[in-house]
Amino acid sequence: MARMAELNVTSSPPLSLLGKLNLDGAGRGNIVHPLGFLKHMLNTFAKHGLFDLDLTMEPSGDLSPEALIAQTGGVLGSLFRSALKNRDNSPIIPAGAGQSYFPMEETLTYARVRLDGQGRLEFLGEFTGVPLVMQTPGKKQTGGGEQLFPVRAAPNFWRAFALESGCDLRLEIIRGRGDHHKCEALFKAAARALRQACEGKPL
Amino acid sequence: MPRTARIQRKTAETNIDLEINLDGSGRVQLSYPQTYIRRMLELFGASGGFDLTLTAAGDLEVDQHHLVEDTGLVLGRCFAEALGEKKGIYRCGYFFGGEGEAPDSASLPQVRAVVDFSGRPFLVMSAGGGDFPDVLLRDEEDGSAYLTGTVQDFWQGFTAGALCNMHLDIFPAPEGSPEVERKKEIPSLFDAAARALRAASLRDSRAPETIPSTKGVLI
Repeated sequence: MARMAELNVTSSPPLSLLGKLNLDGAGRGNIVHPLGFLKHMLNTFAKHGLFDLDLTMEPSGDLSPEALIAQTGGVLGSLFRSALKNRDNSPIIPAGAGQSYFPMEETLTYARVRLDGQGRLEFLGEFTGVPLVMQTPGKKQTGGGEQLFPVRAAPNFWRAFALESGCDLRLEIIRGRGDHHKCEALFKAAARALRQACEGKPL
Repeated sequence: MPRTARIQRKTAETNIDLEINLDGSGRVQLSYPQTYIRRMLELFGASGGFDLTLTAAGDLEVDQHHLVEDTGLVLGRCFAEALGEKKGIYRCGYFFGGEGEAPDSASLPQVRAVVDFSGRPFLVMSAGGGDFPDVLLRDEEDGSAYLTGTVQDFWQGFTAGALCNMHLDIFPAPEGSPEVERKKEIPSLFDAAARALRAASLRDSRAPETIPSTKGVLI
């Protein structure tokens, strides 16, 4: 039986969101998100973890990209928490844990997760911190269509994810060049670690 | 259906005929004129469960570089051909460990290999946190000389041929490790690389018809 969770917070500005997670999916991501780079991260996460993830987040007010990044991590964490609990709140996978490395060219990352944790994040390694340049579809970059993605805030995604999911998460940027690769390799490693944990296979 | 490939590549410098079965049993048949890489290939096949049949000749009168580099290249191309469009595989694999005594939980593994069949070639190879060294050593079996730098040439050729991303690391041996322990590092690396490649090549029973990439393409 597929383990699933849903979230519907449409009546709570400044953010309206719909979320659905299937832990036993096929890697389908269906994401509507104002930050194009984060949308790509979420699609990547779904694909590499074989999760089905439907997520629509539409800010109705003024939310900084940093706040949005953290909120998104928290939403994903909540979905995982719900999907991994029985009705009586006991964990579906007792002592579930997983790990993975993932490379992207010069970059190498590592993720380890314990499902039944204290909601803590250990983050090692550094982003250079130069923001990534996103262009709003349908708009010219020089016509108000330019937005900067603060990659430096990416650990806040994972901090909120750990907190909301209750997982203990260790993420490492072991080496690397380029924040796109560093960020994406972490999402891939985390996805594979979570996949292993959710499948209940021993490490 | 076993995944196999055979590549015959002849240049003015080398002549290599290599056949691989990724889903084999570690049966390795080699006709190879350089002792050290021959031993590493035997170990590689056995550790990864690959069947390898290889006949090679090269311009060893120049030095070992062309032969070793082209062997890696052809082996890599065989992997790429055997995996095809990479449907239904795990795509990323890793293995860390080493020979000798089992490390306690506080000590680092001796070697680590990570591979991703990303479709883009890139090799990172490191020893002791720095560049992989180029040192002249003598093979244990027959005392023949080889350069450790050719090991990096091999893996550079492999990643170029397989169009994969690899990180191969040898961790610093603990203070006071005997020389014989250091000599185990490169064989441990071939062992780890084989296991990482096996893990990455494994069929994913949960997604047998999917190309494991948001790009939809891995070649």
